[in-house]
Amino acid sequence: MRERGQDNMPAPPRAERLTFTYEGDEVRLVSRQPVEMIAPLTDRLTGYEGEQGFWIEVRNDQEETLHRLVMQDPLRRDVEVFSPDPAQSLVRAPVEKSTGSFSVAIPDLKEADHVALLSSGAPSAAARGVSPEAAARAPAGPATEFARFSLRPDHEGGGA
Amino acid sequence: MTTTDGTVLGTTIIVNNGPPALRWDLVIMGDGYRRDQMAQYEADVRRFADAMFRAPPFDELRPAINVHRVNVASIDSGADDPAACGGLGTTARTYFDATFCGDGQNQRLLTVNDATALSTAGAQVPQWNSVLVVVNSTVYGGSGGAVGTFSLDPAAAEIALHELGHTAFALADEYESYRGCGVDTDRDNHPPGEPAETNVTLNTDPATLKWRHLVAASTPVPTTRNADCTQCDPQTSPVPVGAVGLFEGAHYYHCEAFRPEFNCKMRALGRPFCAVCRERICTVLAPYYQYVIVPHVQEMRHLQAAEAIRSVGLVPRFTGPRGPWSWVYGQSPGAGTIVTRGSTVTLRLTDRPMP
Repeated sequence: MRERGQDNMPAPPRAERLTFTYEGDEVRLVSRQPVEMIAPLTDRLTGYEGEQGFWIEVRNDQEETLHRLVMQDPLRRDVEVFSPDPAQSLVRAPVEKSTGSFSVAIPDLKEADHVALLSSGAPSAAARGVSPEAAARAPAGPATEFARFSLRPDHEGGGA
Repeated sequence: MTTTDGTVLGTTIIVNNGPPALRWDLVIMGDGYRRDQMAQYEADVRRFADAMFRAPPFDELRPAINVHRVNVASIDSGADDPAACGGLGTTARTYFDATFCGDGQNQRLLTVNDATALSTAGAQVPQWNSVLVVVNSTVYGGSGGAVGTFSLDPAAAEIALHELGHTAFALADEYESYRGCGVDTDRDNHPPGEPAETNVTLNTDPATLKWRHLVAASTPVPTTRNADCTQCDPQTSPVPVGAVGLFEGAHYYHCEAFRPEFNCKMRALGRPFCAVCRERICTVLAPYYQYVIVPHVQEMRHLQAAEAIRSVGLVPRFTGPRGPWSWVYGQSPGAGTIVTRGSTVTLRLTDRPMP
């Protein structure tokens, strides 16, 4: 990093990049990498009870949320399909097999204890015994926690 | 069809606005470009970057953004084009394993191996904020998810911008169908539960609407209602283009979900981002816009130095004689210092002969 001017610039920004893999609703934290970068700003930390969507929460050991990132659901249950027809350029289609990877940068917070993943996405088709199409098209409800991973130094991945 | 089918040649920063640690770093990688097609690849990436910086609000946020081009050579040119989706049935040995028909059903769904793309981006630019892969094919296609993918069809850059809306800025889809208007039979009314994204809502109360600060007093709220919730709403906009209000039909449902403008890039490709989406993008990019690096202006004439200081978002302040031949013999903070945008840089002038 370069010289810091006056008292303008805080300490060099530090973040941690978490990389996950998933198969259906099974998510694994496969790597943690410290990075000198500005982490994305937090989204609202209060007033989102009952909301639907997908987000990641960084929490302390008292279960208080320190940082929250709203994201497009990275567990690909359906895909966006594009058309050059300007009248209907975007539609969606369910996927048969939901597997992949995603990555997120979170701030390096001293009090961070674990990261929780919350989603209102339908459980996987296999888990519910329904077709992928039915699962992907099911109405979403309020987001609930479906995975958490320790951020304590003695944990290098896996569930909390 | 694996990383053995190509080589990472290196990375070039093509839009450099400062240290990656302080900027929002977009990484663009190519797939299906042979080593002898790197000049074309460079031009293709440049074309996309130029298109992005023409699209509001990116045009005004350029100082916050770095664009890195990762140069990847594949053995073959193009992408797999399976016959199962009506393609030519050809395969191509490429580093990121690009394929049309990525879900086995839709030819235009152009996907790559996300894990390979993310690990390559991380190795080349650890500070990356978003990753796009441009695929060397003129067939129209693309996809979203952890890695946005788009082809060389002139319209496909729109796919990349729409997908950036999702992956980088957490914007929701604003279209009102799932499989398409006239196709869906189960998309009448949005189920309860406010979407967490900033650009769709179930709330019709103007006093608590999440984008109320952008709605003019003269605009009715709701602005449109869908008279037949079994169908997409066929009506045209009752308000001028760009007016923010509350338009029914969004988030894959015909009714009870609302969008902020009649149209938006998150609703249809080829449209600009609406004001609410632009605001969200600005909010996300604000931390990356905040800091600038003081340029080196010593021994410049004072007008030239002032222009250099202003050009990076700082304010020059002069001490000493300000004649036509005066020049900078000292500056504070010094060149290379990181300061907050809008800070003052003091330039000490003299009219002695320049050494």
